[in-house]
Amino acid sequence: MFILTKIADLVQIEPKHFSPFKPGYQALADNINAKYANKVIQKIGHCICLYDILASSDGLIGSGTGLVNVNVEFRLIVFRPFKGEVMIGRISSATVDGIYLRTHFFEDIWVPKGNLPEGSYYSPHEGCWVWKTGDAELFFDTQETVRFRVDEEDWHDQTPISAQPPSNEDDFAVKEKDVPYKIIATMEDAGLGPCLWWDGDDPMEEDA
Amino acid sequence: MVTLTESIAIRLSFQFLLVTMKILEAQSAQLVNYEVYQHLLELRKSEQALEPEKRPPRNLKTVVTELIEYLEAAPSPLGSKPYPYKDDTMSKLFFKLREFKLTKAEILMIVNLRPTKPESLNTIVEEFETRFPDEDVQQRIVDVIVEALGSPDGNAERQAMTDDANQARQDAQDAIDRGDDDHDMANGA
Repeated sequence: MFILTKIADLVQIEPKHFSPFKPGYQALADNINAKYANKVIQKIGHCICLYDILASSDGLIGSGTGLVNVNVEFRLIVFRPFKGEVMIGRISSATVDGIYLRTHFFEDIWVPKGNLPEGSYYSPHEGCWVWKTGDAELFFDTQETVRFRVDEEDWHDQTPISAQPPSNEDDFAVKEKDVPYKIIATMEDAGLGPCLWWDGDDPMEEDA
Repeated sequence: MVTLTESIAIRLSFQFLLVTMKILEAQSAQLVNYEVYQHLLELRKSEQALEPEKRPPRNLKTVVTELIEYLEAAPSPLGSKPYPYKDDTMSKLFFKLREFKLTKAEILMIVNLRPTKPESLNTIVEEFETRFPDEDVQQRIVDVIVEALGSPDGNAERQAMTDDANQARQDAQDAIDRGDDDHDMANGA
């Protein structure tokens, strides 16, 4: 679920952060975290925080600003589940087209209706998906803890392409919906879906 | 000494901050949830030692808090009691799982999710029934996992999941009510 990514970057430390009370390492770490923590790098993943600093150059002061420039090599902890990984999440909402999942720290997980078990249908009355298996009806209730498998990734670079305003309103609407990093997941296989469906009949507990 | 080209480079970088980032290695290692959790706990501890005005950036605080919550929420083994991981847990588990020739990805998921019955392994391990047709072997894998990581308290775990879901629904409902009742609250006050 988590990887380490090695990055080289120029860190600029403001003079006010360069004090005997705040060691140099802390100033670098804060700077790196402020820039990367909780942000998405395209094709890398959702950055969590600094893991360690591998190397740093001497600080150079550029003319005019007093900023100290340091070239740093460091590793970040990045959230980037691999294809096929099984993870835990929660159902945040459901529509006719599928189910949105989230984790506490990452919100953009989408399960299209084709990736739900066969025999599932959307119940507009309950506002959730229902899996009809035999006589039983099992509900994908909102906020339920679920297990899902990562199927695909969807990347959208957020960098503005041009300064021109979009030519029509449709363009604008589409642009706004794209999140930088979306996980397309599946809950089709046995064992996936709400944990409560599967974890109930544990023979080891019955023995206890 | 700053040469002319260097100083130009530095000045340019003021304007194009993002361009200074260079990915040296997209994926230099994979971490299990336990390692990330340990790192976050240490980070939080060192933060609390600092004075308020020297505390780290807010975006870091948000993601650290949320991620710790996620890693501790049922049914994650990191939130279960007794705490299943010790320093040598991983090496012992890896050693014992070696004979089953599981892939790295599968072992990673086993460590993170702690499957304690063959059905749960079936979800994680590809072609489980084909690769391990013998039920005794399936049970042996489960036994190795339980021995290393312990087994969850199923009832407590299910209760926690149900409570979490109810709490989240309640919070969502409260948020809606608050939004709708602005007018009433103003009248009441």
